[in-house]
Amino acid sequence: MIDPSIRIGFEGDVNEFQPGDFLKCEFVVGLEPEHVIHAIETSVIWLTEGKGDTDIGVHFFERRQKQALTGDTFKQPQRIGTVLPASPLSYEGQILKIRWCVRVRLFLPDGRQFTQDEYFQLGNVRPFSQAAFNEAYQDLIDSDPDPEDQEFDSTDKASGSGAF
Amino acid sequence: MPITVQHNPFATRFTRPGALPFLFNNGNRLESIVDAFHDCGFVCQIVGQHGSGKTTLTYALEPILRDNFHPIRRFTVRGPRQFESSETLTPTRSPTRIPLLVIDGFEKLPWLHRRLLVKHVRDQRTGLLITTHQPIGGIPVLLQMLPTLETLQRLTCELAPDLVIQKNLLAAIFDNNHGNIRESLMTLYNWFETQKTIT
Repeated sequence: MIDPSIRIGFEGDVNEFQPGDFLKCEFVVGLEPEHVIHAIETSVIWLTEGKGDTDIGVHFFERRQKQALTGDTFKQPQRIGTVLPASPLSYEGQILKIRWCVRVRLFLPDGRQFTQDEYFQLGNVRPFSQAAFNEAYQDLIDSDPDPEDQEFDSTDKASGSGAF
Repeated sequence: MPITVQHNPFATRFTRPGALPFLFNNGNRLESIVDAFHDCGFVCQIVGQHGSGKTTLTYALEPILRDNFHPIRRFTVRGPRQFESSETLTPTRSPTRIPLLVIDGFEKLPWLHRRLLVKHVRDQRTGLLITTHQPIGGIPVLLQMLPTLETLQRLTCELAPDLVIQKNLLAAIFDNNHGNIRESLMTLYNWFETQKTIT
């Protein structure tokens, strides 16, 4: 038995967005005559990826039960549209990444599920680079403290001039 | 041109129990483990060190166990009074199925609680599948987990089939983590990030 297929595409093949942009995409579900769909969920979510537990946030969600689906429902592409929020922005860190995606999930009556994620970028936060950080701040890291900065030394309890 | 997302294949999202398949290194099969569980009267323990795949095995067994058990309640014991729980609901219910408790970290429960719980499940004809670092007396051992370097190699191929990792590097990672597969995958996560930085 062939599994159902799900194909998701963004309008204009563009998958970079800014906060407040209207995300538009289409998905096509490939079904065999023997496939019966119990329900379909479409969502726009962000999730974290890294060394810790995965956090997930749901920005848009829609579930259609089989009663709302007809034999012709999947003969044409289905559309998803939503205004994207201000945060969290996509981020490519070393121990943590924030990823946005459009997720389509099919539920079959026998309990099987088929999920397809299509990733996109929200915002343009530059990925963290240790090398770039070192290069940008190398002079400050290597140099001796400026004597004039001493008055901001937070450990200087006696003078009471600590800024922090 | 659309951007492409490069996933770190060793992120916990891909390696957590339930996301990873369970790989046997001795020709065993999930079905034979389930048969052994039935033969033990539905009360068994899986024994193994940290990161050896005990929890992953319980998740891998769950779809097969659903044929005979409902509901399946899963508890993760963090300490004597700390635990998390979840319940797996099957799409169709059957009166012939019996409840199953899956308890991760059983040895962290107080001794008396363990005794009472085992007595309760036997009296109530409930299934009990536990994971523990050390064998618990009076409960049949379903499987003793013994992860090997080959297990790590096969998992790496499963997670990142196109990735080339030197065999001696993998062996060193496995040794440095004392055979702990979970920690080895964490080290591979770091290694993957350093490779991205270099390229």
